[in-house]
Amino acid sequence: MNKKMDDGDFEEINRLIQYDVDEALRVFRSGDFGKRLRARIAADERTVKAKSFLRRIAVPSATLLAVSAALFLLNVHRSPAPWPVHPRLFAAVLRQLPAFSRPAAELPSGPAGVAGMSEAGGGFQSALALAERRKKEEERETPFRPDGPRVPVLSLKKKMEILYKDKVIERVLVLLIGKSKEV
Amino acid sequence: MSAEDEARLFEEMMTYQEAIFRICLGFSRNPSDAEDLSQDVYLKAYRSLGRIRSPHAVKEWLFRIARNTCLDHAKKLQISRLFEKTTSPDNVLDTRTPEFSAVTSERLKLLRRAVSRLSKKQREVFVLREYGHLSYEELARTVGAKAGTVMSRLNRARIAVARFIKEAGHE
Repeated sequence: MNKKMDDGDFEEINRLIQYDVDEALRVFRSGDFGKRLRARIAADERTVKAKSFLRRIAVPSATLLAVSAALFLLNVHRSPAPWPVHPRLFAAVLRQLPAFSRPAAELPSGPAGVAGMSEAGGGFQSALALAERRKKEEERETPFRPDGPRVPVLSLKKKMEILYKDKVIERVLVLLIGKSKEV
Repeated sequence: MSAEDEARLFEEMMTYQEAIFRICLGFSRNPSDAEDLSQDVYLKAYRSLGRIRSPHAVKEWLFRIARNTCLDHAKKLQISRLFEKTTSPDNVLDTRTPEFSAVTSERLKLLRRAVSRLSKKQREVFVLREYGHLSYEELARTVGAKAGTVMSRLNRARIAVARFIKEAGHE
């Protein structure tokens, strides 16, 4: 392969390279390479400064974002309540209740009134009034009922009164017994 | 290294700007790209001035940066040509001088094509020697090979280029 090449071939390569380089260098020298380079270095330094600033704020921002995302995901994927009441089911139940016809203040207070109210379709409001009334009755001081274990809760003052009365009756009975023995 | 030393070193580097430009021209085969690549080389050198270990070998260090930058650029160009139809630098119409003869222009195109057909190792020694005018010792240190290896590579590269031009000229 080498035998086929003579010095003229290599000289032509050198000549062509020289020509190529000379022409390119002529254009290169006509421009101010140093000035352009300095401008580019200055622009690069500005970019580096901007990047370093971004890098400084990037870490706290990313952390904040990650924490926010984690909290959001925790909130979204939280396990539901053991016995969830679906809002639609709740709304359907409310809708099936009788219509609200009369305000509670106008309702009659007696049992007959309650019955009448039911008949008139007093609905939810009447049921509420009845429940209120039953609660008040229970709270009221009622005598001991043998048919049920429910005993009204007495205040301390009331208990003392009862105790005092018991003692008075006991003393009276003791005195009466003593007198009868003497007689 | 102090800021003054760095500035002095950079000034010293700037004395090699034409050699760097020639090397970039040999690799890129385009004067405009060669200037951009030269700027890239100096920018990289400026950024890593503080890391230079032996200020005495600044010339070889700079040539090594030039070689790596040009090879990286060639690699990127190869990849981008796979995806888009760009004009090859060999086919760029050379209008640098009005008196540029058609024959010389054709021969230059052949030379550029011949250089581009060389293997990576042959191309780098050919460009660094013929365009950058590096000595064999400098060439060996820049490429990271023995002087004998570099010389044989260079010889093979020269033969391949001359052969390509001769054969293409006869067609």
